[in-house]
Amino acid sequence: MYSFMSKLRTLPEAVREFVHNGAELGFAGSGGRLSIAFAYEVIKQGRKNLSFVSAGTGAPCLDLLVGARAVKKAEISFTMVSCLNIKRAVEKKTVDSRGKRSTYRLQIEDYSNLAMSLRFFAGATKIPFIPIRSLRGSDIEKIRTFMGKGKMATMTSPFSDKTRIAVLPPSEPDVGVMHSQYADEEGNVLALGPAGSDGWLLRAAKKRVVTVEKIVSKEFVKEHKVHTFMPGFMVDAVCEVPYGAHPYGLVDCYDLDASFQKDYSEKSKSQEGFDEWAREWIFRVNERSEYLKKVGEDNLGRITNQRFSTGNIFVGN
Amino acid sequence: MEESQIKGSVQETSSSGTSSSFSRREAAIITAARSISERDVVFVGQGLPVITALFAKRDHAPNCVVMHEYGVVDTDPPVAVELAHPLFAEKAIYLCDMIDALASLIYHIDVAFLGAAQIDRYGNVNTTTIGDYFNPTYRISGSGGANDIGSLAPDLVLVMDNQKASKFPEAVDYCTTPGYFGGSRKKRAELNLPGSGPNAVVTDLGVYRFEKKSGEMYLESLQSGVTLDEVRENTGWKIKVAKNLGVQPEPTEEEVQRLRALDPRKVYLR
Repeated sequence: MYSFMSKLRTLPEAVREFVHNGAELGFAGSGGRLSIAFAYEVIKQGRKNLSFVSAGTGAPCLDLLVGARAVKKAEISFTMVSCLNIKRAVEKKTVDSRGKRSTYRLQIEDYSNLAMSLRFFAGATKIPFIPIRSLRGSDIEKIRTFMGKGKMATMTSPFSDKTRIAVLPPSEPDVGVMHSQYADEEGNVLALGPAGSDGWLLRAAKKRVVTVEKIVSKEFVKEHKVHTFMPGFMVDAVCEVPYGAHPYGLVDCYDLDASFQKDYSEKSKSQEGFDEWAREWIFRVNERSEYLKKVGEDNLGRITNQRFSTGNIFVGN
Repeated sequence: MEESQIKGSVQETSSSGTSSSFSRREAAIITAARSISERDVVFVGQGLPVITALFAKRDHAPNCVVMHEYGVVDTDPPVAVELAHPLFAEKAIYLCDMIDALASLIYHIDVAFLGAAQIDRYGNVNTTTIGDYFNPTYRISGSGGANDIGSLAPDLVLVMDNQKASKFPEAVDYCTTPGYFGGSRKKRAELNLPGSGPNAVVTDLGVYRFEKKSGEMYLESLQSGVTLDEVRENTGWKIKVAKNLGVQPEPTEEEVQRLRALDPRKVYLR
């Protein structure tokens, strides 16, 4: 079925093709554009020793990957208090049910949201370093983990002798991943909602995978070009994954699934709990349709009815 | 440096009378919100700042502009929701990206509000880790946009509820967002930080400001019903007190009801 120009892949195909062990993954996620389904598939295929980058909004994907002990290092600016797998992989009191401290640790290099956004901008535009007005004097500048001197530096402006300014290295993840509302099969992507730094993250990545609610026609994209996120020639793979942000809400399509999130948080209070959750919702689920069936039609109908709209181009699943 | 006025300290209690019951968290939110004026452009961080600005919009500043770092500008959700909730985007006038919001629009706002896990004697803020950074007791959220907002905003108010000595230490465990470092306003200029630094801290116990030169925090006024001893017990250093120590007007019944109506899902008023 794939035409010459088609970027269409199934989700398992896209993960197999683009995510290798040790890869650096960048996750978008502003306005709910979180490809939770992609994170599930990475876990299911057993990828290990991954690195993770994000400007704030990708934290729920990191939490899943950390729960699966698939990520070693993360350059991030924000996690949520509900990200208990991340907390467990960082905090000192972490012990398993037998009172033994887990040997799995996540190393974090802390940045700010603007810092990660500018690092993606530098990556996307092939600038070798980029100045930033914030960060100076903070522990973000002083305390470094795995990046050491490569985390940031200061320099004097070549245009004035006095202005000493912080500079950051670019970030260019191996794969940039985003879930979005619509795309055509050539990979022309529509994205609704606040931009966050998703545009720069995807552009900075060496390969770009976008999962979408629905594949639409090229005519449809043209009609709604004010929402076009990226032209197809920039995109390496498009996967149709309805409810791909579930249990998070996606602007224009569905609200978050609060009870599902609550159950996830409850389970991920311990590693054993998360492992059990992952067996139930990732490893024992053969196909995406099975996952949706398990979430339940009523549930999906409810979150769809509760959707919030920024572009009013809802076309249903 | 001009200190911004917390207008609540001079505001009359409204004619509807005082409320017999309000939580301390509600008092902190209402007091902080009183510093927002009609048509102010307000940049909000995660947590209490969100409901603070939305309450001001419902209460006395319907045309203030509320924006946040993910690129949501001039928004007006009917109920208080988490910062990342799509309702914020649905009700916005302008959607943009983080670089636009945090590196450009921020220079044109009137005031930014940030929450904090720890605030120290010199207004340095921690939202990253409690305990040793390399082996933390608690990992919190990290900077998000806090460092950028605190480094760049032309005016800054910090909001905290449940003030206690461990959250108000002599020095923060990790300096996510600098205030006045070890006691020098000048250092901000030396580091070329464009923002003013914190001009006020509002907690459930009181309203605090910072000395002109040293940037050391002092108690400006107490929340209604709070004693000076309570503030001292819940502060991790020997805090200075303003000569004319004021008392914040008690939240009115009307304010409390309006605040509660804004958060029916108890996202912030747990």
